[in-house]
Amino acid sequence: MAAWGMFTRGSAIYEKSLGVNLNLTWGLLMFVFGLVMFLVGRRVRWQDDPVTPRPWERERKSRH
Amino acid sequence: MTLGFVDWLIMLVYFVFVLGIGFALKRYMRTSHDFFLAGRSIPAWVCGLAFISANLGAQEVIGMGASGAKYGIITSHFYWIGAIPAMVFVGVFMMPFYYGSKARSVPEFLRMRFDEKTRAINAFSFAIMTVFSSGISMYAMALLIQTLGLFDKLMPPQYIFHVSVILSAVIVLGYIFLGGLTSAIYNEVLQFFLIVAGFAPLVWIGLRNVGGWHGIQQKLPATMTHSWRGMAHANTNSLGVEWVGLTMGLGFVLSFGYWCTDFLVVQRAMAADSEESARRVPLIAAIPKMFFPFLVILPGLIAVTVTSNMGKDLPVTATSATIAARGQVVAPKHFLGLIPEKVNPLNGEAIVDDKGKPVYNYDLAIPVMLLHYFPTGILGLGLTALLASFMSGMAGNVTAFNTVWTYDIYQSYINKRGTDAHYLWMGRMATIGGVVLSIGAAYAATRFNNIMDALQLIFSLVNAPLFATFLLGMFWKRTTGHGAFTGLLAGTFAALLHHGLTLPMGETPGLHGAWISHVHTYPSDMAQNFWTAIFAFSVNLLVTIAVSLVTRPRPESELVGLVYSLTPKPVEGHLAWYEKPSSLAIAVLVMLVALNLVFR
Repeated sequence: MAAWGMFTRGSAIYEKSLGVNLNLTWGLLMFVFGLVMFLVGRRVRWQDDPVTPRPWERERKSRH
Repeated sequence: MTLGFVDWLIMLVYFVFVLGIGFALKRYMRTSHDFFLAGRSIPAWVCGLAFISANLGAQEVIGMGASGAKYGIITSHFYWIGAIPAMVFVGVFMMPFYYGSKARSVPEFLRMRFDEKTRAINAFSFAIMTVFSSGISMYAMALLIQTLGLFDKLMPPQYIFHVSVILSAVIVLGYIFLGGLTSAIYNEVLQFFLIVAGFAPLVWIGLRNVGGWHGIQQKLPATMTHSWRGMAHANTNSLGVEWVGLTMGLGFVLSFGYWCTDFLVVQRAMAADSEESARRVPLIAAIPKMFFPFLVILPGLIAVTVTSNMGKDLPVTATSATIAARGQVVAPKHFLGLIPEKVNPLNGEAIVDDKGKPVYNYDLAIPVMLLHYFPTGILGLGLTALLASFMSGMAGNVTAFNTVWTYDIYQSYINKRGTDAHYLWMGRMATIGGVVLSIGAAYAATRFNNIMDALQLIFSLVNAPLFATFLLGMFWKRTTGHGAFTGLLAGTFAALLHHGLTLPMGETPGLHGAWISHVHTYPSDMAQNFWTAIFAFSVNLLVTIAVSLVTRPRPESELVGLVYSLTPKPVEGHLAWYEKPSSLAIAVLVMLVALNLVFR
């Protein structure tokens, strides 16, 4: 969306959105949000894994 | 309607992603526990977003936009009164029983607390309702695609409905068959963000166009911009319900009956990675939920405000251009903003009521807003958000169906001694079966004009009394299985009787009521629904208590973990204050009161 917004800067298609290039602004905003989520997700990777035991479960298992 | 290359690309990326999640999770589906319960390992915030996303089906998004355009901000009661208090209650009080009892489904909890026959009545009625709900989502989605003319340039018109139904069925089947509940939950999270991403800029640009909330207030009548004004009497507000009917019928019986007992949503919380997480799930979900009126109801209000002169002595202005059926541009000639008139699909003429006034198609409020404000690119995102809402509704029903079918019907009554691998296989077959039955329900909806009304009625008859059974079961140890079963039947019968004796104003006896005798008239069908629910709940409550008092209760030792007074209270001492379900619940309730005060 952001790329499409870059290519269509100043285009007549934005008359609909009151002159606002929604593709560029919203596309960039979503990209930044996605990037933050991706980085946070990588930092706590175990949370993405639905099967691997949680850290505290691993500790419990290793104690037994 | 013509879409650009980039719009199609955005939709394609979404569908590839959705199926990709299913493929990525396939390798984790080793046991039935993984497939049906997501291994009980999902973080609370993920389950929380899935919890509301599963409820964000077709009826929710399209219906709430339509109601916003028709009734105004008063529709937000379906969230603020009709959801949040119940979500707080299920999180704080009921989740410890669902999660702690190790029940795999709500019907199974009923068997543990009461007996086999109470489980059976709930399992069968729930399985049938999920199939019909999923089918209706499919039908509504295909109808919308047909109405907007999305596929007009790709295929002949007579194939569009069939292709839409099959396409949505194949995608939903694909990702649930592969990744089970985990796949459905992660997809629901994706769908949640997509719905927010698709509708938030729509609201922003729409508000900018109409002069913000202040602009809406200036152009629309006060009853449409206040949520509590005129609630003292049914005839002085647009819903046709007074505050007692609203708070008791919607806010208590129907709302608690749905959010606290419907396995479709409870299943998401039961997939959480701990009991504390399970308790936090509905509370986390309540936070975005209470702001959803601004995403789905506000577009409806904006749609009627754009050129509206309702209730004001402003000169009549017309819309720039509105779409009618199948994306044709028609001459502007009505005064409800962007809302198009209903058009007869056979001859293309506008439909008028018995007074000769045009009938408006409020269901198109959100789609016409998307077409009005969004240029190519973000239009693809908006339409994808709309399709995502339909698919999340479908998927939620299918995952609930496959679990109830496998655990509560197949394992309980057909094959009790199967291996775990066999039940996993059966779960996948049930997924296929559920989708095929949903397709059947979607086609049934095309054949019977009133099937949607009839199903809505059946849902309310079955769901309304249910909460009394759970309430007594969890909080009164004396409640017996015979009491619960008899109470459920009596409650449903009372709902049926009330419906057969009453009629909403302006309706004729039949599907809308008074099919036994016309004893009482309600100002609106909503008032009739709410009072039907109140009667059903009350009768169930009284009959269950009466029968329980004359039948033998189960020994207290068997009820530990199932009844409030016999179960150790959840320990919260090790949690930080912001992690405690009670803190979250208080924060949610404070925000709820604030919202009601702002929009009173």
